[in-house]
Amino acid sequence: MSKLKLLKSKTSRTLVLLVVLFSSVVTLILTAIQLHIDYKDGINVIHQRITQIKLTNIESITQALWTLDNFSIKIQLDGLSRINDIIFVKIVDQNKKLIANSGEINTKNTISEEIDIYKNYRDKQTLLGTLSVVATKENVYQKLIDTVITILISQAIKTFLVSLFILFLFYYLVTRHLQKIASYSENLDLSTDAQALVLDRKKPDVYQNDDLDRVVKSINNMSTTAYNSYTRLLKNQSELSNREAQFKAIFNSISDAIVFANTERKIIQTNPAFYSQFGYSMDELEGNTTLMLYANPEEYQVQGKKRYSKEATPKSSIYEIEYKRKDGSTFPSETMGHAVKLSDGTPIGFIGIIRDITERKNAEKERIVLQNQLLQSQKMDAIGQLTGGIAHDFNNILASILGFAELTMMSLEKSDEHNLIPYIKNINTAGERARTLVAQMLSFSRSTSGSPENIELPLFIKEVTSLIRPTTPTSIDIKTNISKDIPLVYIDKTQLHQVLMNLCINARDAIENNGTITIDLSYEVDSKTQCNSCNKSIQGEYVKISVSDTGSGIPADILDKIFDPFMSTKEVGKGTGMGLSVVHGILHKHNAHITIETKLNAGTTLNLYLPPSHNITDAMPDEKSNHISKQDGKGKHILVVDDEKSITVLLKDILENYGYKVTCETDSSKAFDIFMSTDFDLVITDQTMPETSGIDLVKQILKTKPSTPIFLCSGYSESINEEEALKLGCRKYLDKPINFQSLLKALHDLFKNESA
Amino acid sequence: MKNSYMVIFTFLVSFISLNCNSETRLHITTGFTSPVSDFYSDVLKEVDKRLTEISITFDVLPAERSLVLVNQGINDAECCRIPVVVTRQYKNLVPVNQSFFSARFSAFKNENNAVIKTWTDLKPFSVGSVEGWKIAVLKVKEVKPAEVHIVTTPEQLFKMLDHNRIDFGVVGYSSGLKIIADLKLKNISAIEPPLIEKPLFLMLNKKHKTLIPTFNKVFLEMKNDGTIDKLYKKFKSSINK
Repeated sequence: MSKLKLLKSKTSRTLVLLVVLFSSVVTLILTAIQLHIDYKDGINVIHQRITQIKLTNIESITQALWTLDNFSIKIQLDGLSRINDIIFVKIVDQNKKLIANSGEINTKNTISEEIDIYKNYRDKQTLLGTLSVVATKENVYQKLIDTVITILISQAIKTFLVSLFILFLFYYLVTRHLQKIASYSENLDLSTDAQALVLDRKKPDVYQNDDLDRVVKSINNMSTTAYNSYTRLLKNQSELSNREAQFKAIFNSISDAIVFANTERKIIQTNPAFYSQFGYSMDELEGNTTLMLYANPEEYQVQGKKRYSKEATPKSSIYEIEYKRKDGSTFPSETMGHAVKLSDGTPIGFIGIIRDITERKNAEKERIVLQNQLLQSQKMDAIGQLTGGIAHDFNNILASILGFAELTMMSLEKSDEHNLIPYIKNINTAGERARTLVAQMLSFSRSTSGSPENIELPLFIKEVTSLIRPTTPTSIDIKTNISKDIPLVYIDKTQLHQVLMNLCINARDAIENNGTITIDLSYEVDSKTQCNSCNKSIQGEYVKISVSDTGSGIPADILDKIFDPFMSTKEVGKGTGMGLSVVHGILHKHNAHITIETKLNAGTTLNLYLPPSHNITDAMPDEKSNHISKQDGKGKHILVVDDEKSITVLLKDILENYGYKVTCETDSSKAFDIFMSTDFDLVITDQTMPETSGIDLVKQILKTKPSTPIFLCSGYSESINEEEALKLGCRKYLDKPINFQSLLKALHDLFKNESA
Repeated sequence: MKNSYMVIFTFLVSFISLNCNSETRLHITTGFTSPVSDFYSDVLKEVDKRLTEISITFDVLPAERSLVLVNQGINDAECCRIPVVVTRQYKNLVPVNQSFFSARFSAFKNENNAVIKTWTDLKPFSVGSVEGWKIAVLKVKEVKPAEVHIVTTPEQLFKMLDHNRIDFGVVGYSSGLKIIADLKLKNISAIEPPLIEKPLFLMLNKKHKTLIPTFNKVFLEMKNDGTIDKLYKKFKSSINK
């Protein structure tokens, strides 16, 4: 055991240091007490000497003073000044005048005492003078210094020896064991099951259950427990790391923005989606509250009280709110937010999961627009089909009425019953009016055929204006504003004429007395508006015809109904209510649209948007190749099957008029036999028939002669549509009532292709 | 009622009596020793008799102490001094104008044969004197003899002289003779004539300045009526004994 080893222990060093320190302090305190006592004693000795002077010398000094024997006084003072510690004595008279002195004061450490000297004279104490005695304390101090040196040296030696002994003792009994314990602890590897700690003691039994033994047992127990805990900890840490990785992956991969704020609502953490949604990096967010995210700062307070206050429950809730991005733009969101609390209820922050629902909102808006369009379209289609169906039936009926009225007229002209002719004429006139009305209804329902062509609108507008002028009161002025470079439009001229006439008549009727009708013609390269009748958006190139009046305007409550058939604001008998319905039908048949601008008592403007013909080149027929002539049929044999005889008759008349050979059959059950009995170039069959349906007939025919061209006509049957018909093998699907122009064109195309 | 009158009467009588008996009490001291002090005592007793308004007591003190205490006002008068000498040091002393005694300082010799006629003749010798004997001490110090010994009492001086520790002692002539007689010193003798003779005056403390005329008057009366002479003769006879 070397000295170095002894001092190596910090505990030993500290112990020795403390022992030395404590011993020194005690020594110093005791020395101080000792010095104090010695000092007191020394001072007392001085005082005793002075007292002794009083007792011994005062009497003789008094006598000498009384007799003013200065010589004697001087001798006595010299004697006094030679006493130990007395360095100076003097006597002054009653007037403080110096009588004699002896010695000198050569230090500041003195004790002085003045003794008044009285003489009892005539029964009174008469002051003769004052004896001053000055004693030095230097001797006392010197003695004290000697004492201090002696004590300190002796105590230092004692303390050194005692400390050395304690150091050794402590090392042997404690420090070396502590060092071993420390070394054991430092080298303890928790990943392995360590050996038990054993101290190096010669007589272990003697020390059994002493403090160190208990420490060793505790350390051994602790190391075992620590090993077990560490093993568990490693396992848990591994699981925790996996979970953390999973959580991080989820946190980072979620497309919704996630923000975690502390209880002061300062932003603590966000996920990558947050950056992409808001544009803020975590550095930019640091130290800021979520206030910076709110589009409306008041919402910050509202949500704070509602969801993010300390009192708020941690229950999640989803709410919609608008946020602001870094660039200042805002976006709607669906946010799930709640307070985050520990298991004991202590709030630690708030979490918000923010989903940008801009696209959903836009989709919803678009859906609503489309829904409205669809509803409008469906409504107009439904009305159109209804109108068309009725008109078609009425047309058949009227055909019969007028036909038979004509036959009756011919018969009556040949007979003598001429008085009946006016009646028949009235029937005929009424029938003609009904035909006109039905024609309008068919126009609305798109059932009427048209012959579109390229029209130069400036000329056409002038032509229409000239036609309207005679039927318009002179109090109404008619103006036209026609722009230059108006492209051609591809439309049925007659129908467009009807459209403009209807609009001008409406304009005229809207003006009570004086006013102006203005027809503007312009070309818009980039129109952006919405059709008021079909609700579809109008975008792109359009030729715009605007018919404006200075009339009474259209009330808002009927604005959305003005395109409905039979909707009229005019007096009974003055209008059919079909004017704008016909306009709607014609325009949309030609992919055109209409918008309305109206103001009560100020006037109305109806804008027609017609696609320029260069945009619909593909749809335009080749004038030459598509020309349908009366000899177009070339004797092609067509079988027409329809349970409505008038239809078969009408089709027969029309088709034969164009050179086709037509065989008609109203009984569908016989139709197949007729087909099999003759070679037909084409079969036109209705779908809805009492015995055999059109589909069944088609199947039968195609099964026998698959190459047979078949046109399937359907009124409003839900059993088949165009796609199904074509899939079945039909060459063409025709809506009823049949557009004969379309039919003729289809036939022309069919046979032209076959011949080619 | 009768008792009440008696009390008032007694009070008035006492009051009047107190006022009638109000006299000035003077304590006079001297630094001279016997027989001079005895002479002074006799004179002052006579003064006390003659001055009904003044009551005098007398006391003998060490010569210097006597002056100190009068100067301090503890005692009332010092009998008697040479004013010029003492008033330099003791400012509170004032003399009366009438002197009834003169101080004579003589040099006393032991068995030596030196001839001393003036103060300067003392120069080569060892000379002693007594503290409080102002003139003697001053003169001795002026001369600056070979040795000077100022002792407290004349007895000390004469003993020293007797033991040849000094050559000459300068003290009051009368006092010296008295001490020689008292101590039975055979080898000591006064050198005739005295070296100096100066009239002495009663020195009053300043607070008794108003009494100067009274003392002047009484001393003059005593001189004129032969009382002083009578008492001086008594003093001389005591020395001669």
